Amino acid sequence: MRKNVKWVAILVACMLTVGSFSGCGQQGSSEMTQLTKEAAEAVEEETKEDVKPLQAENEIPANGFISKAQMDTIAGKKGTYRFHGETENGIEYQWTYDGNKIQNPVEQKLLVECSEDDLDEVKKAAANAPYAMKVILQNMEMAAPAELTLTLNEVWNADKVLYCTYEDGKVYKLDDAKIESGEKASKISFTVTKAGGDFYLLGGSTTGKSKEDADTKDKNATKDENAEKETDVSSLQTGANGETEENNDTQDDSTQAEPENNQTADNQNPVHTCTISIECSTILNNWDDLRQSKAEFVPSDGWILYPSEVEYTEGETVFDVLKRVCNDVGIHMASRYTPMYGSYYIEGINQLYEFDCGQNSGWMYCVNGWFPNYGCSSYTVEDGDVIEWRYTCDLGSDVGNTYTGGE
Amino acid sequence: MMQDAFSRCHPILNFFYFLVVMGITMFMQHPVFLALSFVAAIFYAVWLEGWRKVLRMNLLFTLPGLLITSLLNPMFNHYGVTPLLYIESSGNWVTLEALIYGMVLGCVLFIIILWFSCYNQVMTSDKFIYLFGRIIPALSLMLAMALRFVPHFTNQMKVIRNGQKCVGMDVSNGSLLSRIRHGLNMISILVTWALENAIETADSMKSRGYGLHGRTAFSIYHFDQRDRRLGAAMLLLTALVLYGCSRGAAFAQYNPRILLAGFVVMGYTPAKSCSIGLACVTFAGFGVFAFLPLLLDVAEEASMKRSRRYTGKDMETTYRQIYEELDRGGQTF
Repeated sequence: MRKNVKWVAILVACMLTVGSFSGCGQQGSSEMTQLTKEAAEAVEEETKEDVKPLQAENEIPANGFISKAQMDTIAGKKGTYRFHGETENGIEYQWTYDGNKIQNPVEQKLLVECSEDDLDEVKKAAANAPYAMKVILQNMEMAAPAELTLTLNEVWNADKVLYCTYEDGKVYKLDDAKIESGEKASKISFTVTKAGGDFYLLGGSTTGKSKEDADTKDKNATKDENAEKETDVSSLQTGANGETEENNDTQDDSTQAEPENNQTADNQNPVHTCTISIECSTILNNWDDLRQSKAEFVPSDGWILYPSEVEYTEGETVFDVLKRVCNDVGIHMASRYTPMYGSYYIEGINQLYEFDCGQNSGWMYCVNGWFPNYGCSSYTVEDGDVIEWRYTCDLGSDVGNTYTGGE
Repeated sequence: MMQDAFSRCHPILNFFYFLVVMGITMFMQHPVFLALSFVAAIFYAVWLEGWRKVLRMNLLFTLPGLLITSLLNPMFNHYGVTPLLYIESSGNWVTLEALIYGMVLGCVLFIIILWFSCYNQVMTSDKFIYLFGRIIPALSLMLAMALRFVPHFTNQMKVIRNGQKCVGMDVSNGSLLSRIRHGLNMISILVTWALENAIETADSMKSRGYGLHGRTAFSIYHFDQRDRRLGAAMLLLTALVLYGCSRGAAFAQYNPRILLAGFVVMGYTPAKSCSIGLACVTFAGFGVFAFLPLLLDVAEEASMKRSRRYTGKDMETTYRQIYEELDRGGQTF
């Protein structure tokens, strides 16, 4: 009987050790929010043989599908890849992908439909914009943000075109579209970061009008106002940690001082800057799901870090920028390297961890409006990128990642 | 060795005691509870097994386990508001909270192992089968067999090895290749025996009607007056402790901030906190509960001593009376 003691003990020891590995009170983690299924690549290898590699210029097939294997042939390659097609009503369109941005290729559905019927309502909502067009995109997960160029059959006499969505009688801007008007046709191009559903192009002629537009069109009006107001580093501030760590203030001061020094001495080296923000306002809408112990770490306005312009060195990834900013400002951040995806996964920022606000919660990042489908340490920052770290309580659907992988 | 007083109580009390004491140690990770549980467990283990054995096993086996566990947690978990050490590559902090929680986990592990060493002394497999043989016959037999699986195999392995030694086919005989062959041969014998033994056990239990409806089993356990009193005391104390816990007397949180009921840790107290009085009563209740077997043993020892003294005196007078009567030459019988 005595020997039993040891074996029971070993059993319990093993169980407790396993328990401690998986952390205190945190359920087993799935990395679906930041890293998506990159598996089955081995299977991909086999089929690659008979896939025709994509060229710089491609015709979109009749069904509009560019398969995952085909996208894989341009993933991570330098250069742009264009896909040409034509809508039923004779509008030529062209998708432009940046091969570098594709890290985790997925099937693309590139058929586009355009119509100009029944748009009075939308026009009215956009302060009676003279020109409008509905663009219907297929539901897909964007492999990378892509530029869509439409060559219209007519001339839009407009100098400002907005790429928008329309919801509940209101128009929300997604992007400023560029317009080039020729003799017979106008060319409009804009960046698509999410697909699936109806989108609208609204054109206006006078500068005054488009400013009026600006009032009605922003979905996250308050958020972007903030973004505009606080675009220099001097306004770096923590929304949350102020009361917990007193030395934050001094750290803030030091970060304030730095950029000014650099700006005076930046003539030799061009300074790269990007904007980063950390925000968890979705928790405020799901307060009941929040773990009680974490309540004190949710800032009252949801902003952990207001949009701040920070410098970075060439080749740094989103992860590097986040890591440095958090360390400078004194925000807690926890990450874990995931060998399967070859990337770091952000488990928690400011003590708010994945699964702290429901089973579908966690941190996501988006760059210039696009939620990359790969890890943050695979995304190399470019000049002027706007990085947003957002806490989702519903697998991304509540922060604007419309494609939730509904297979 | 003579069984201690608690071991002679009804099995259901033994089982209930270990269930509660281990459950509270595992799920209420409050330092006061852990300390009480630790002291009670170590005293009881020493009482049952002698300090030499307890000390040897814990120093060699559990203490390193405790250290490893308490260091592993801060390496893999980085929650907590008190940063200690920055890890450049991943941007993580080693935090005080994770370190302390690691220690707590290590202590829980340590204490549970101590309790299990007591459990194995007190809850023998016949007691376990007695308790659960009728409710869950298959499972309880399996548990009882699983618990003795390894020692049973080790013993059989010794038997086999001795047999093989006699025919010159031990692992120490011959060249390296033949040694390996001998070793594998022994394992083959062991596995064959194990399979056969399993079938035999199953057959023999079946032929005895184990688990059949209406089958009775002989047992020597009675639920007597002492068990009734002890059971009532245990239920009362458990109810008290659980009530205190439900009122937040044993609230303990280590992530992201250390909050302990009844204590001010780095200027913070839990929001849901009960009065100091209730906390003390809860702690005392758990302390008494954890020390019950020892108290029982000490009480028994004391009453034995007392009764021995009394008996001795009684005997003395009796014999004197006998002798006096013998001296008087009277007839006693």
